[in-house]
Amino acid sequence: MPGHEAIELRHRAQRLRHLASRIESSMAMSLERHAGNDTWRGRRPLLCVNLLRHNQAQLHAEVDGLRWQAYLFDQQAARLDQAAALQPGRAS
Amino acid sequence: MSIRSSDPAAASAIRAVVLTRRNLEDHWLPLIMAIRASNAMVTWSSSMLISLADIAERFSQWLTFGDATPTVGRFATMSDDDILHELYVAGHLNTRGDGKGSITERIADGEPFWSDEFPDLATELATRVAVDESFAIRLINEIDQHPLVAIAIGHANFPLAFSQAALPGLLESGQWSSGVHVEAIETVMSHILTASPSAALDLLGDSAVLAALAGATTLDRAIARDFVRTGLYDAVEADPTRLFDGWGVLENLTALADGKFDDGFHPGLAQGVADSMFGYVDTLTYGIGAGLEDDVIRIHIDSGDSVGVLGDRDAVTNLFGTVMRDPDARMTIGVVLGAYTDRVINDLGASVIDRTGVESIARLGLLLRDGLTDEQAELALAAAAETARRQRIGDLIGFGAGSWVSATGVGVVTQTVVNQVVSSATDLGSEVEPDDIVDTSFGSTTYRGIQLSILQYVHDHPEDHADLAVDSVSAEHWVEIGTRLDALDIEPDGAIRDGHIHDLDNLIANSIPALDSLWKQFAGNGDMTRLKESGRRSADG
Repeated sequence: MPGHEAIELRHRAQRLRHLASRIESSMAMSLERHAGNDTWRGRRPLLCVNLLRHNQAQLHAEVDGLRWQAYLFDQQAARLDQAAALQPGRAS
Repeated sequence: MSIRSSDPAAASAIRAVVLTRRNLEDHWLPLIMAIRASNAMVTWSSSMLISLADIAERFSQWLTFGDATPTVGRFATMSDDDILHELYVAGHLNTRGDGKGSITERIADGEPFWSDEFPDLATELATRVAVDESFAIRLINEIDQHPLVAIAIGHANFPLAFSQAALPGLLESGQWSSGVHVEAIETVMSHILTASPSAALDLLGDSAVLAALAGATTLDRAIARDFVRTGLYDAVEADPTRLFDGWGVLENLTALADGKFDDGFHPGLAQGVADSMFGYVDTLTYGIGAGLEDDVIRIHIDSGDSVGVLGDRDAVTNLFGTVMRDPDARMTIGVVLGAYTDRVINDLGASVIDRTGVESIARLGLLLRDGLTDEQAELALAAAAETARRQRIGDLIGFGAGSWVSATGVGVVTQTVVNQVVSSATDLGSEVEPDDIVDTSFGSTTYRGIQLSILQYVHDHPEDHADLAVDSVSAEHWVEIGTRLDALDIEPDGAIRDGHIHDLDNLIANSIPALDSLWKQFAGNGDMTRLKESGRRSADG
């Protein structure tokens, strides 16, 4: 039976993956589709789109980071389970 | 739907989310709103941009944070007292006398503390205000000592109620020589007018707030104008039942004008009131007509029973005189009168013969004329009114309770058209020298405007000729009148126009007795005659 710490780590991993999905599906990640030359042109629109792309790149990197951290939490939880299973007197 | 997480492992991601949101608010929203408010959007509208604007309006729901979200940075762990100490230090050590400009400029310029820590401090303040009522009340009570709290409103998601509660204290502190205080007031006003026109009207209904705005010497006039117009016009456009509250504001202003504002109200307040008059002129004109017995101007919403007293005629005259001390406000009031003249005469149709509607315009003209004490001001008002009447913008705008929610979108169209007409009228006024023309007095111009609008209506509506007793006028004469009216419409030179009008008068008087008779029915009443008299009331009354 998994220990409390392993359960908590898996919950955290689940929440981080959920957060990553929420960020990916947010409208900011697809806003540039509405902001092409058919909508507006000029230096300020270009600045807006460039800033957005910069932010999107940051968010994509953060999403990757969240999923990597979630993977590490799951790995850590698995190791805790294994360690607990190897302890004498614990049923597997 | 909000994006949030209290997991420390998500802190970096949340920072990126906050940064993205801030960029959207600082760069995307202003641009979208500027494009939506542009002149081009009056006649052209991109479905793509509308779609983008709809998304923009949902930004506030996007990436919002709930109560459980930890704030970024060192402020999250501070006590309330420490936070206030931070504000004190920031206000006194980082802004005093270094000549580096506003807080907003410091943030934009990437200055230490302001660009990297103040936004986090603002976010922390907003979070505590949202979850801790006693802290919020403490900040409100001490707002004049901590104007940075109000500036923080522009950099985080504060509740609207907090801004509403903060504004009176900031305004009444009277620290108009302090740049930080003025920036704080402007930040709070911008938040309120953007978030809730109704809240702006509520605040204008506070006589102390109104008095502070009227005398706000260093307040940005564009923000003040937007705030007043948002409250007096947009709020009523959104909820016509609030027209009563709008009149309450004008009633308070009437009392204020009777006091210490001989040099006029703050320009932004005056301009905001003038902008809003498109929504009030119908009720005002009715009130002027209904108050003939005791010289008191009452408020009759939708021509119903009186719901209050705006003031006696002298006090209301003084109100508009005080508003019209500001040149831009004066132009807008002229545009309102000119557009209203044309609209009323066209709405009256054949019943113009009853004279009541025409007399009401004359009385409004007399009231405005009596508020003027300066010849150049009178010229400018006359030019604006005449330009608006000739351009027939009354048909575009509409007036009164039935027109608040216009298919053309009154708010944007009004401002755009007014800007065009004011520009045109300013040119006209600047070209005309008082000695070069026969009579450009406001009263005379208004009188002539009424005359020409009636003539134009009669010319354009042959189906009413029998009712107006002008069916005996020959087709040749109608063609001649039409040609002369067209020539007047396109003639830019005021002196030549006067000559054309004089010739038209002679033609009607000497050759078209039916039209001459129709016109004499209007010209013969007392208000029209008084309007035609040159000159205005002397400055001392």
